[in-house]
Amino acid sequence: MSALETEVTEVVAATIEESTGLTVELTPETALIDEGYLDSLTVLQLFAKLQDRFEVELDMDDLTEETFGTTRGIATLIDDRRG
Amino acid sequence: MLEPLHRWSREAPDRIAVANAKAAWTFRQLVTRADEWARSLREGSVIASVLPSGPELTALQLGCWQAGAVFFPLPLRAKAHEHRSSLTTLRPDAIVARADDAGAVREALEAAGLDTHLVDPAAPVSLPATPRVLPADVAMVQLTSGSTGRPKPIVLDRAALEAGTRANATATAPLAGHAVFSPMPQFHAMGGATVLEHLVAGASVLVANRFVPGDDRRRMVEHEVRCLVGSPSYFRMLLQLGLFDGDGLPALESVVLGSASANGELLASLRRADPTLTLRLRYGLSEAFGALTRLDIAPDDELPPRGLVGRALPEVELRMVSDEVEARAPSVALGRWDEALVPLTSDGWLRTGDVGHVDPRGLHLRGRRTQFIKRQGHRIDPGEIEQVLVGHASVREAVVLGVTDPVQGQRIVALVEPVGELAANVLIRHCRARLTSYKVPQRIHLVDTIPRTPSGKPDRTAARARVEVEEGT
Repeated sequence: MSALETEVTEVVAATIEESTGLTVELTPETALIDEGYLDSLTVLQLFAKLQDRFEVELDMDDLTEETFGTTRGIATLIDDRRG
Repeated sequence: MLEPLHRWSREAPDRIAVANAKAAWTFRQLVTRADEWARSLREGSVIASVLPSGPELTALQLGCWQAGAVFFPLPLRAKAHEHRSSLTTLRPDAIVARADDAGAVREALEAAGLDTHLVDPAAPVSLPATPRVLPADVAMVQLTSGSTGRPKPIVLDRAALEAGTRANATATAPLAGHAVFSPMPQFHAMGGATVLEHLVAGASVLVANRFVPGDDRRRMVEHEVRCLVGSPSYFRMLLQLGLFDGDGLPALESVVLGSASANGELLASLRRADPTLTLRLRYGLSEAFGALTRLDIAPDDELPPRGLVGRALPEVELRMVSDEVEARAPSVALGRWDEALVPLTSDGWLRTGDVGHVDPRGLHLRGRRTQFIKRQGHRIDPGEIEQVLVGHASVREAVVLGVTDPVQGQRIVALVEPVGELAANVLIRHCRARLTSYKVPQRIHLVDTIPRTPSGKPDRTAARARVEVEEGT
């Protein structure tokens, strides 16, 4: 797991916990959307938090199953944006 | 209902009828699959569905009607104990679910000691004949939330479905040959009606099973979606993400907002974001198929006053009894199922539980008579959540209330009186395991004592005042 993946996974877990009260253990491959971790509200919170924390600009077109489906997908997106 | 679909299947066989993110079926494919289902189903049997929104669910629904069977859609992601109460109230003859989605249903059947057939849509089926339980003309059972804490099965006959579709046909007819996007689950009354109303009109209906707006926008652009149907909270989220900014959806002409809580502020934001949109409001209930009133706001029209939901559709009558809205229409359900069929009304007028008034512009809504919480397009009974909370060993008493929320319509807040040490987190987890996610409270306040009435019951008015202090609203 890369350092960025670890950091993203922490942010995602913290957002889910904040939004739902659920303590979760995630791996970079956990199916965030398929397994119901990311409901619409949590997705929106995460979307805002990622931009703050990693100082990147995300577009709603980035909110896809491919990127937000796993923390690895999110990390790849952020890595790509930080270029 | 079936005749227009067969006509579209002849006239535009290759036009997409229903699509989700994974599959798109043409009218011909849909009708063919409905035929296949119809051949394996028995007249009068009750067929529950735990399928994702999309082509297969729609084909099963149409197949049921073709065979004279009763279609009973259940929430895809419900927990075992929620399924259990639905399945024991109205025992279906079979449940159609994909292997991946069948876990909670199987658990519920075991717990209830039922040996209902579980049918995988991928495997061929042939079901035994069973004695008919529901009246001969019943076509669908729609689950809704009830006042005593259990979802109520609402029994709709063929005539109600046809009348509801007919009354909404004028609104959907111009969309023939065009695409409509509806993110609302099809097991939901408005989500289900939306799909059928548009299919009958010859429109292509795109549905979604998860909130991935980037993928949704790509699908909407690809299919040149003309009309987007959703709950007010869905539109608030899209506005927040800037979906309507610029020329994000070049073909979009109108948006349809369901449920009563579309306030002026939301309409104004939508108009600001895209001044070319026609804003269309619809008001309906699970107890009647399709909308009862509609209001179209053209780009040049002034925005309506808060609460106005438009005039009654053809064949719909509205009246006020004191300040409660009552409706009479052929689209109103036969009744609700409670061991036997219980009529919804004694005099043909359905009490909606909504408070408002009628004037020449139409129906103006002010709020709910009952305590239902409206959230993300769902109608949630606080009693059901209270029962789950009180089910925890360390909870003495619980009151659940809806608090106005700018994005979600209402958020669910619980006031809990614990026995000894208890953390709010533990209770949220307890709820998560037992309730569909949209019913889980957003906030739980632990208090020493919940205000009570002289008879010892929780005092909801005082509890609300307490919540407002805790929430700082």
